[in-house]
Amino acid sequence: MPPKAAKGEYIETVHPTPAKQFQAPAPSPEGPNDTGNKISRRSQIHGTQHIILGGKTVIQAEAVIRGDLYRLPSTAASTDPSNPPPQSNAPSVAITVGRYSYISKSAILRPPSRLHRGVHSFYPLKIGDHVFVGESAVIEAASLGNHVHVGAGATVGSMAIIKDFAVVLDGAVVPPGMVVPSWCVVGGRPARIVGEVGEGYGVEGAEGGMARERYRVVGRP
Amino acid sequence: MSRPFPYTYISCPCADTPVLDPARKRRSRESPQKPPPERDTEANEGQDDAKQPANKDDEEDEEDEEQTFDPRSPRSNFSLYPPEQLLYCEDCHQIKCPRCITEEIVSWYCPNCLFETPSSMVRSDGGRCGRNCFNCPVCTAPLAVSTIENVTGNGNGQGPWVLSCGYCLWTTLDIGIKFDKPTNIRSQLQKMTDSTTGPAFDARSRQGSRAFGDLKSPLSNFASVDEQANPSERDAEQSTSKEDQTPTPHLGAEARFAALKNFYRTQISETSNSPSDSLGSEFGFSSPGALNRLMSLYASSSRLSGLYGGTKKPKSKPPVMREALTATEGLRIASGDADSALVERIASPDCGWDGVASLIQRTEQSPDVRFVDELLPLPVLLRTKRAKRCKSCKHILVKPETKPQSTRFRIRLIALSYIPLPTLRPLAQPSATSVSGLAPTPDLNALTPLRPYHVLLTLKNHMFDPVRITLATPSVTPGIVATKVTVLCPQFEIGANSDVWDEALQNATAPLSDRITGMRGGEKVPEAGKVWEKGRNWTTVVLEVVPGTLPGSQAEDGQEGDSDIAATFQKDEDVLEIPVFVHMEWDAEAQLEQQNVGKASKPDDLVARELAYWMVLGVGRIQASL
Amino acid sequence: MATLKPPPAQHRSSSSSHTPTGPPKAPLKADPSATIADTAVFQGTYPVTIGAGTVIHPRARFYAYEGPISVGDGCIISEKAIIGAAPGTSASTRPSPSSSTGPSPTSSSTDVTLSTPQIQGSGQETITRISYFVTIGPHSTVLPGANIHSSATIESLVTINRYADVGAHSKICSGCQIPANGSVPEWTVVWGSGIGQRRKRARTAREPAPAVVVAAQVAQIPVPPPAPEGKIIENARLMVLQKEREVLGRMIVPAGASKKK
Repeated sequence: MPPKAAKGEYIETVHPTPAKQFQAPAPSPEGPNDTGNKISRRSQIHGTQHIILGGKTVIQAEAVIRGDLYRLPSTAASTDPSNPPPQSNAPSVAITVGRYSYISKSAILRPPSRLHRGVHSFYPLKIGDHVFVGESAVIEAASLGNHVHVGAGATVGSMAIIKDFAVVLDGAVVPPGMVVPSWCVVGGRPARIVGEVGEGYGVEGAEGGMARERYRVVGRP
Repeated sequence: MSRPFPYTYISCPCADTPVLDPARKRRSRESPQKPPPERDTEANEGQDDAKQPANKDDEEDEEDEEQTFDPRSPRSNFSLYPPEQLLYCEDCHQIKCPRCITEEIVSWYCPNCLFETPSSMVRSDGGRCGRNCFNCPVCTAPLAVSTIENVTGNGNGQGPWVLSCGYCLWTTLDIGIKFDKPTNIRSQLQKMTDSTTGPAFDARSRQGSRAFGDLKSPLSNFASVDEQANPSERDAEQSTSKEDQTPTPHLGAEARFAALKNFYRTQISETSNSPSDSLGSEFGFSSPGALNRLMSLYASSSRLSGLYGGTKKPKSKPPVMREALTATEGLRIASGDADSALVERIASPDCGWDGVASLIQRTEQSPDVRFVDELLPLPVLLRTKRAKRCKSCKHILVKPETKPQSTRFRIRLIALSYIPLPTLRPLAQPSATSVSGLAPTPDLNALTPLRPYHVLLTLKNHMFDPVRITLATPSVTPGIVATKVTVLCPQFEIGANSDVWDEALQNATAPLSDRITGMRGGEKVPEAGKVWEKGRNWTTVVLEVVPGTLPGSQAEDGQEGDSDIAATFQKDEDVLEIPVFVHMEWDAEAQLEQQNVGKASKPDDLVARELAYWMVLGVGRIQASL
Repeated sequence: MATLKPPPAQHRSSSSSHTPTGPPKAPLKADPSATIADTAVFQGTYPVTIGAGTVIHPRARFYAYEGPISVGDGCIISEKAIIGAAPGTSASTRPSPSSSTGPSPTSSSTDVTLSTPQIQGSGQETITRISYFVTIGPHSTVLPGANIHSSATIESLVTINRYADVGAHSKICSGCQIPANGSVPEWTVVWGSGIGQRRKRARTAREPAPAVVVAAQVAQIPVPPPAPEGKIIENARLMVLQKEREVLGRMIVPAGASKKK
């Protein structure tokens, strides 16, 4: 049960006049639907120009989103260390979050990084639609698919890939580079596949399909 | 698997099947004056019985319905499922749980690389990924292929390579193994560890990972059928190669297994007295022939002959099989020093507790492995996509697409498309102290005994026909903690689901405004006989719940023998779960074959249908004291 | 340890302590080559020293109420990591090193009211030491008195309780706990749940596994040449870390525009 939010805790982004905190999201296939994000004033978001929210996304208080860890252009070594502005007018994207996804309190979203051919760089973190990220979870994955549920206190390691309709149980530690197939439930430390969700998972209103309802009640008195 | 409150579970009627066929029960309840039209279509064995003793059946039903579903009964564990796990068979008109379906494999895939493995390859690969996917033998995390040279340099394709675990930092260097190429790791590893491949066998080129297949897979009996076409020849080869090269019995585990297998196969074929009795055949030990043989052994003894062998004369004494005698036959004689060496090693400071492989680690490894630094990386076990069939009528209920990455289904008959989806939420406390509109929602993990709560039960219809619902609950919940439950509006209707476009257009506005009015009316009071809220295809009713007192708490009626009750008080007895009997009726469009019945079908080709089941509402946990 | 210069004169802004009556700001001695995010929090009465090349991610929190905190060179302290303990989290009842039950690892709230801990009077102060090339993951807590040796890795959601000692080149996997006064030897991985299971990392060249030796004997081929020492894996990891720090140093918005490398 989320704590009663003080009145006006959430900023709701409106298109086409973006809220102060967020730049207008890059043109997305969603068109004008990328609005209605509910973002807590107490969320801790860095590098907003590198974050794309798909619309109807909820970001709760104290959630840390590291948009500032974006992928530098390949000639990054030469950039001026003092606050390199994105050269092109299309800033590289660090984190994308799909529609009706929900980032709980104190969760951390951090783009994964790795060394490739001698260059250490950050890779985008893609989060799909209807995703739930539990309280205090740490996400360093390469991607979370649609309808993914990440439990509270779980860790999703660097470059992990969580496919659609997968469930990461509370407190699980998904090791770096792990791939969790669709419909699978993983748990434990390190996480392994412990079961599968039912075929009805993700049906609107049932388990895995509560995202709209979750979104709707956020910020309501 | 526990879920946070509030939750709803649905009981699959199959739990009652051994006692009473639920299909029969349900049918007999169907509109008694006219015979149910869908009777013909139901491929259920009990249906003829249902006709004749109809009255008797009804009586049985009366009795049966008296029995309240007890969510605490040990049996309930096996019949309660979250709604999304249930399927629905359109031919049996029944809810189907994972226990009343059969599964068949559609495709095999590796959960790590998500490549499909052709089913012809599954056996030879031992049910494991044949590519570069490995799990850490220490912690089971996936292993990555990484180079150990030029880590920071930009040279690519430079070896040597290792498998490394990103979680526990195990690498193949821990067992002194490196690889020359970053591809085909499994066959490289196979070559390194395959002790069945003597120089004489190289021509055979059995990179097909015999080791894993033979040792671990339950399919192993079948894995190498082809190779066993010439067992004696190979045995001979093996024995020659082993005898003159390694006279000491120092075969690897796989080699010994192969030797023993060959040895016993030849033994069996030599000693068997009937051609049908060959254990060495490809059907192995589980074949009827093997069973026959075993049974005939027993049947020859006097006592069992009457049972199994009938009055047949005992056969001649079965020939004696000898056991393996030499190392080449797979015999290994345990040496006395081995154990003391093991003990010494365990006791040494650089091994210790952490150096000994745990049982869990050893289950996946060769039986000789005792220490952590003997563990070999494990190729990832394949997973399957499975189709599901109704056990009784064999109709397909679920058929996923074959491709591993696809999340779509060709057929998916989930129960949620047929039965209303139940959701539960507490109604904010109408207490006097709270400011209007900010009524606190009760803490479901600490419900106060003897205080009335209102919970809202919403049923959402996914069918395209309106449904009439009747809810029934016991007035007092079963179990030690007696909670009073009243459904304020036990009979109501739910509107039909409309198609996708209507929903898309209406979804944003209609239900929302409904609810807002519901919320704004802060003074809205639950009334008996009235639905709380109603949307296009959903209806919400109020349940009034008065949690009972826990035994031993100092509540009013706590004067009964506290100690006795406290003794029988079990874990989770304080969880408030309400059994609710749901009976739904609707007029469905008659399917083609049902129209022939004629007599029952209504003029507009509608047939009355009904379905009934128990569900359990997990409301919360009752506080110990007031 | 590199030269520790006095902190730059200008005020470091920390997100949660804008009010003048906020908690005391810990005196910070940071090497100029360190990268400290502007939203990192430094509170307490004792000094916090940060070594050369160290990267402090945003929202990391340092609570130097019970003693000084020293972070060596080349460390990475991630988001929401907590080094030290905020006042009120059993700081008053300081456990004696001999028999202490670690305090519940409650993540301290940022809006602590100032309760000036007068532990200077009570005798010795509790030093929290983080040596070089240490990585502390997100949401992890290192309580006062802990000593983390060089090149250790603390993953996310870990709790290192008071006076615990984590050896060099060790790794504490996500979600594990090191009990108060507990010690982890060097080159050891703690994994699993709770206090976890332990595994010694290969440091030297290892003999090939027996399965390989047997196979080689059977096949009459020479046993494969010894694989390289396990140490090179660790060296490679440290190299990658070095690169990561360089990149992070360019990306993280530092505290105060003037303090830059």
